[in-house]
Amino acid sequence: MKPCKISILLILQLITLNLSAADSKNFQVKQIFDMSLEELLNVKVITAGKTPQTVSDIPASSVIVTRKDIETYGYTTLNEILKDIPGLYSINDYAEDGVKFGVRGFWSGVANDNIIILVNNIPQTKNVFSNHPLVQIPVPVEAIDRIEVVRGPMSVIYGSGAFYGAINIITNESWENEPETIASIGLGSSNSKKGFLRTSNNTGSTIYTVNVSTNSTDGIDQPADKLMSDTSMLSGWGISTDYSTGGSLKENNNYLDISGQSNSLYYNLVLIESTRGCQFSFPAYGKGHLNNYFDYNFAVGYNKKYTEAFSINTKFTYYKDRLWFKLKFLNDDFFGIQQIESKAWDYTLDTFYNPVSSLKITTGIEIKDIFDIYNLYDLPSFHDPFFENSFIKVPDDHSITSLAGYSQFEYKPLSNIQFVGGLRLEKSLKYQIKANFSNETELFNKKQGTVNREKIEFIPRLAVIYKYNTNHVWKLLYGKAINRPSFFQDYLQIQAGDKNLLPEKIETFELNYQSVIKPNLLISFSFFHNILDNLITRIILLDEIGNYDSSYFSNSGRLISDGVEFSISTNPTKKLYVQLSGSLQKTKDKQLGHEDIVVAYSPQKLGYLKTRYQINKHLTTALSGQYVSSMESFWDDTPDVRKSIYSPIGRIGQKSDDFMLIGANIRYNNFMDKGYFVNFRISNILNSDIRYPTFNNNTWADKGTLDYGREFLISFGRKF
Amino acid sequence: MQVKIFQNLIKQNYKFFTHIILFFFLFIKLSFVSGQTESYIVQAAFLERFTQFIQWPEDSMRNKQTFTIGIIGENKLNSNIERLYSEQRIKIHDKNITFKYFKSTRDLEITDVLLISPTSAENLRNILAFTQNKPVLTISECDNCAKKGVHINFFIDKGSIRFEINNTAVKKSNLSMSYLLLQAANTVINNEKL
Repeated sequence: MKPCKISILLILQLITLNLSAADSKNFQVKQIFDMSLEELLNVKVITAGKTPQTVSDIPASSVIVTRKDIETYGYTTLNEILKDIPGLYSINDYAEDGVKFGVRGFWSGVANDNIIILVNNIPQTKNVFSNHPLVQIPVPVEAIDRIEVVRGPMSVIYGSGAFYGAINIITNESWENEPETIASIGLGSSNSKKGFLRTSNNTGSTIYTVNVSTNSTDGIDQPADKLMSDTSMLSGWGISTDYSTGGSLKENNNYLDISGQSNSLYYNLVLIESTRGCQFSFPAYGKGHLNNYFDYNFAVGYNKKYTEAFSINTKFTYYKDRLWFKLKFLNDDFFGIQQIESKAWDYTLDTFYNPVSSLKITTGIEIKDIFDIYNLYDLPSFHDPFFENSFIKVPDDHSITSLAGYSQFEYKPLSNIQFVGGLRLEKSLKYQIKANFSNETELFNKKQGTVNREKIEFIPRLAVIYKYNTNHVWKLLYGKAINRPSFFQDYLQIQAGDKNLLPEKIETFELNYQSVIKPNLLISFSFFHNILDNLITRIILLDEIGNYDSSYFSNSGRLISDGVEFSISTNPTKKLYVQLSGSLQKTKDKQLGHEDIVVAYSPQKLGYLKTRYQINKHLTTALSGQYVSSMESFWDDTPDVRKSIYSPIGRIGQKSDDFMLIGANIRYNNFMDKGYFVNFRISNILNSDIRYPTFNNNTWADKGTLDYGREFLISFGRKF
Repeated sequence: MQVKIFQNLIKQNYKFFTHIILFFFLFIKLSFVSGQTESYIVQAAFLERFTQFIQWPEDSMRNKQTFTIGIIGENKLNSNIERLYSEQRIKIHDKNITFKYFKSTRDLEITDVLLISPTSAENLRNILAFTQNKPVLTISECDNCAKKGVHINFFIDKGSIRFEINNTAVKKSNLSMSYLLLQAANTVINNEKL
């Protein structure tokens, strides 16, 4: 057959098949409308096109927290909400980056660097440490319409850093609801004060939502003798032995977000200004160290549905984050500051294509450019030239640029089975780091270097979702994610003269089962196997006779986690709801020489309880609880200087005991049917010692750090 | 050398490969043509059938020229039903059908049927407060909506459309529903306490 004849035949086939497709569809519709009621009950249907996705449709292990959940359980901060998510646990080491979350037994010590946190789909990544400290994301709980927690490697969609998933905090969902205003104030223990205002308006084609809040607290107040074994050491730091953390961990947060949409254009602004006390290295002197954060990000986007089958979403976002860290040690005359700042922009373009109802293809590109980033130390009171006007930055004509492209398909060949596959290609272009010191000495001659990590990362994802029926859903998930070293980690390597670090990697296998046993009984199980590789750890080198020689950072860490999570939710009566969840996991350290060392900050057991009772249509009571089993503290391989031959320091503090944290809440809604509400919350109702194992940031607290005791908060407000 | 062998293989068997490619293309197009039905088409057909088994109060139907279907929120059924009924020339109770689209609960008017999309489920309380005790047949497709007071709620079970009926809510609306329709439902809720 000659080529031109083949072409004609092909074109004819295309035309005839398209016509026959259209005719066939019309005939099918007529057939349906001619059927009886009984016949209609037997027709098999395709169910694609149902938005938003139900949790059972999402090809990942996910949890949704709604506004109603937040109001019912009376959560007062974002920390409290996230602590109640199965699989998550937190540690507060009093450091400047605040509470840090661990997921499924892995806690890195850097504030949330392995889970992406977004606000209205905008990543809140702070670029110097490539992390998401909640102290720099103080979203007021009153603003939250919904939190989507998607657990598991999500790097195909979100890129580097989404090791354990993504947390998307939605504060603008009132777009789809009635226009509403919410105003509230709150007063509580530790001199806590809160004020919140929200307004939204919907004129049809133009919609906006504004959330603004301010809150403050005196912070955790715990005496030194509960944190340290030997309080006599305090005098060496100019502090009396009856020291407590009271006054040194104060917080004041101011938050504004504005979201809007006009036809296909949308915009989103988040503005944060916070000051926060912290502890770092030694106990803080006087009023303590003070952090001042000023962050904002602004996105403008365009979301257009061109046809039933094709739509695009494109967005440009500008980011700025700045931290001023004022240190206070030893005496009143001490002066020292650290300033960290970055400016960046990113551009994303996503296309959504449904060629047929059973197939959805999403593709996207992303360009991110951090064009200004620096870390400045000026601590003249240390009398060490390294800390005086020490400036680490990317030179003015350079930037940290990453490029990525991804594609994901969702294919539903039958109504009860769905396949999801995706691949992301990501590359970080090489960049320079420059460090300036006021006094140049031999020690600091390695003060400029290039980070070259231009290898393309391939990040895959696969999922199979099988719905036996709406009551039984199985998900088999596989995914990989990466976590690229931060600017700060890259700098430390250059300073040490060592080779560039590689991205950390995680590979996850998970089997998830959800079942509606009865209309009021839902169960869920997940079995997971995580392999974490290339983790950045510090390697100690010994000389021929076993003495300490040197150390360097390298990608030699490896952990393997196996575990199961379960959840049971039930409505035993119409007014009572109970949810019991738990997690059992075991993480093993596979790094050479660490095989017998119990992994630090990795509780083997986690438990969660949530229960609420609707007394009447206005009044609700609720109880929430979390159980965390014991955790070991950090194992330090640094040589113990008191020993003549190399011996590691070992554990830097004591093991923390199991603890249980219970909160209770009572809420009266819609008082006098005018939208007034009052809420009374007690956190840590048993006044338990919530103790976390010691971390590097504050090794002086060798007994571990303590969280809040029993706290109260009462709030009043109105929705109208 | 290996490239040459491959090229020869193609040359010698190009007819075979051509037929395979055409067949593959044909197969793909056929698979797009045949197969299951879109759920919204079946739901639209169900709705028309439902009205045959339901009586509206005489005083609400008297002197009315058209049968009105109200739509609040967006989903495939709501976006396509007017087109489908127009193409199939559907009439209900011998009346032509008019469609009214409501952007928010504040815009609601009395219609004979009100289709509520899942995206408006959060406004459900307000919608049902408006329709309560009025002869407006409410139809939705969202979790537990029949229990919340919607008259007929669609869901999918083992790949087929099913529906549940809140008979208590139907009675309170002065609508009369045939026993045959109640029999066809998956679940019938008879509960005085909603």
